[in-house]
Amino acid sequence: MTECRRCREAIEATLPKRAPDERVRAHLSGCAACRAFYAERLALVELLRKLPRVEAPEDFEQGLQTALVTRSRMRPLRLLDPATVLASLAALSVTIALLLNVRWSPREKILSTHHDEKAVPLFFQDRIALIEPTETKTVKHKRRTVRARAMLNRPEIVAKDFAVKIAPVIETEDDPLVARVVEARLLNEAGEVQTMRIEPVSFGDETALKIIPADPHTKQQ
Amino acid sequence: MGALSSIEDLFVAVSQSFDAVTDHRLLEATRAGDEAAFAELVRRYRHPITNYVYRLTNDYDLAVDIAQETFLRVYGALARYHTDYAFSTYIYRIATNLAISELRRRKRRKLVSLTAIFRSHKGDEESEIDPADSGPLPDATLIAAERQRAVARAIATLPEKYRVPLILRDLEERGYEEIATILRVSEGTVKSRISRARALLRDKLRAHL
Repeated sequence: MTECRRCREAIEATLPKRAPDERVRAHLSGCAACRAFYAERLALVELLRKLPRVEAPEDFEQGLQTALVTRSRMRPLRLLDPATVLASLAALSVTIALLLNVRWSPREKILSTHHDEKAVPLFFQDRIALIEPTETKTVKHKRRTVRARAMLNRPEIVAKDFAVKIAPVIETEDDPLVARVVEARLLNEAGEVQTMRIEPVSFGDETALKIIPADPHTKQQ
Repeated sequence: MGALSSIEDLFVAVSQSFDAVTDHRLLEATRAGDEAAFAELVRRYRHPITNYVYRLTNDYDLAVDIAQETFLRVYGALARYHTDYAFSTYIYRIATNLAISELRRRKRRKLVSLTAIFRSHKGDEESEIDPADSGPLPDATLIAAERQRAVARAIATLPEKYRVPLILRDLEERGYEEIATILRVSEGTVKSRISRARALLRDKLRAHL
């Protein structure tokens, strides 16, 4: 049995080129099973050898030449160039931030929170704040910190929670959504907005709030 | 006419002189800026590499692209090439890596062209080969073509880790040691994978043996 195993290993090793050595041939002469194995392997190898050889096309060198010229015109990337390293790190940071949904968010509570019948409860990021609709409020981020949040934990502004009597319509400039309060649902994509200005655009039954991202350097009205 | 024949003689003489030059010498000459030396390397390996990649991928256009990319990589890495290994080992390794990467990329994107297995590289007809005009009788030719398609199909369905060493050994007739170097595995692993590949292939091609 061991002889058969050795014989077959030797056959496998010599194929597809060489003929088996004398020791293998001696074993084959007395072992029908190994003879059958050898014949089968020979037939298989022969089948493979009959596959036609494919050649490169005639314009192979021409195509290669063109590609070489094209690439030689391209500026080679210097991997250890400090500027390249910095740019790569910056790109990597941005990619990671996007993947983790990193957002700049305020560390401090920024909206006035006194309760009032006229106040508008506002879900900002993951906290609730109340704001008087007749006032112009500028939300400023005094300090910012990076917080990575899982997508599922993304906070929402739920417009339904605005006082219906006061603010039946909500408009946002960056997201042109105009909807009845009871239907509006603003996903807080505006978490990316560093400063938000909230101001009433009309009064009475049709009171609306206009929520717009504001440039923090813009003078407050 | 006399001038033409002398140019042809010169060309033949140059070709013959290149034939005697080792791959390593050609690479050194290429490094020194001798473009003709690189052209000679391309001439030596373009067909073997194209054939090898074609058998790996079963896609002629892809094989040509990868073969060209292989030479581009060789050219781009001239400065990093060490003569520890034979040039053939080096170029087969590059071609193998490129082909495997592409196959995996296509597999991820489900881009594998199954029809390419059956398609000739010169047209859309389902033929593995271009039968020679002075070949066997048409019936025999058809049978041979069908058998070759079956063999190509069977090879294409082998797992990658068996397919690559099998092609290198049984089609490209590379030595075990060289295959081990190309694939960065031990010689024992190469032997066992080739043995396993042949066993799998035998099962698939039993009707043709």
